[in-house]
Amino acid sequence: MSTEKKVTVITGATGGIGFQVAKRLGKEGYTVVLNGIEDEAGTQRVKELTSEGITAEYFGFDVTDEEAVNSNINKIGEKYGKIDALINNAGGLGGRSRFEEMTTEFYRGVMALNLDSTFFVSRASIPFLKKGESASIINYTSIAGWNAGGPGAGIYGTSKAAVHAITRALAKDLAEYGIRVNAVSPGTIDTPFHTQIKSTKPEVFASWKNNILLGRLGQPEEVASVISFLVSDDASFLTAETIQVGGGQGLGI
Amino acid sequence: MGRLKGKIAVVTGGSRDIGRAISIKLASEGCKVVVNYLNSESGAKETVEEIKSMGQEAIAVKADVSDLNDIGALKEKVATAFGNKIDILVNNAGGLFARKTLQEFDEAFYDLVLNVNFKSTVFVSQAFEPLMGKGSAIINISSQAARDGGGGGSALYSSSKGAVTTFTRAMAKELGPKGIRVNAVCPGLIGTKFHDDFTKDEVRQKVAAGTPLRREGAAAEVADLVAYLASDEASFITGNNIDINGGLAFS
Repeated sequence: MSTEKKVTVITGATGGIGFQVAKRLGKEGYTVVLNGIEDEAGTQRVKELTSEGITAEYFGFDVTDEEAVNSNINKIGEKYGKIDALINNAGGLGGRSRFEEMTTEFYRGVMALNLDSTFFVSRASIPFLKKGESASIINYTSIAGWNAGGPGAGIYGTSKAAVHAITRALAKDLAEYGIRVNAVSPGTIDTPFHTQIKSTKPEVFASWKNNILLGRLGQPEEVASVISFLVSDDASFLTAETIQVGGGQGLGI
Repeated sequence: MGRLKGKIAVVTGGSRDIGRAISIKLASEGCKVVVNYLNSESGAKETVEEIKSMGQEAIAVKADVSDLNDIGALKEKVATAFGNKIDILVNNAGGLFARKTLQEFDEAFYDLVLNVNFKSTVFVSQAFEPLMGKGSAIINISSQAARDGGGGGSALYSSSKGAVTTFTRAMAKELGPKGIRVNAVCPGLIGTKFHDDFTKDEVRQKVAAGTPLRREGAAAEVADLVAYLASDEASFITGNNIDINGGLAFS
């Protein structure tokens, strides 16, 4: 069954940037499918969206688990008939480790969290994106994908560089179906991902702020607005592109 | 949509092609628009008429934006029409003029190309920045040529656009603390008079076929991106050079 409303699937959407993207696209009339691994938070988030008149549903599954991704994306696709906007938002630092001490498990974990997840979810979604209307995929890369990340974040940076490349590769591969694939590269955004360091290492936090031309952290809503633009028809000639949302932090990239 | 309601925009080279599309798009979002032109008076008038038919205000102002006296006069006319404040500056004026190889171009041609594409961007920014406050935005029109060196015989054009790209980053740094965002867009092959004049049909067809989206872009699609960058929706985006090329150039 195909629905008239546009459908978006947002991974890792129970908090931070992902939830703001859900809210933004929901307000624009999308039916929102949130993914996460914290079921209680997911249910709560759906309630919040529903109370604002947004049609939303939560699917709890681990985006690094191939089988779980395939079965859940199939369920979503069959239920809604199509996917118009896939937002591969799930990802993370996965901890810090220097190379000498780095376990293979840690390495694989970080790559899985950022790269496998993007690959698994995108691949499973393609049949449903093909049924979408001006469908597109949004991936998340990072300044770390260019500068290879801060101390102990080398594999995070490496995984994000891979996301940068897979964005272009997917764009090339899916262009013939009219599916656009772009990425956003959030800088230092006011989410727990970054702000937890405010209390533990205030000097590091201050140094971040000093590197941002606009002199402040970004808000999750300011990433959501970029994604809203990229999935819209206003961005109809944009594909394979990465947009830095860092208040000038990614200058030179 | 009205994202730019009540804002004042200056678009250099706003009489045709991408500049015209930008002028019209900004007006459709609620801007009062200054449509600058040099040669195409009729194009500028048509652009202004189209904007007025949408119920928005616009004026056409003739000025050679590579000439400092003309820039001064442009600024005065903007102030007279809309007051001493602008919110959006689009440095769109530019041109390729002719395809010439290293052994073909002379100093006068060098000056022409660099002045129209780069000097104009620098000195129009210098003139209008004092009229811009927190939350305002400058958008420079660079080019895919800035990324890849350009097509045959366009070394000076592509280099001038490379300068625009670098200037964009430098201005983002300098003006960021004042709350002025500075970004550039780098259009690839867009269906415009620019390419009607300077790019052979077979080259255009080849480039379009090699573009992932399998077509040329439209001026209106570039205008959509510029309007987005000009709006508060892009409030955390500065110093970017955004490629809009259907996926062609992986810069």
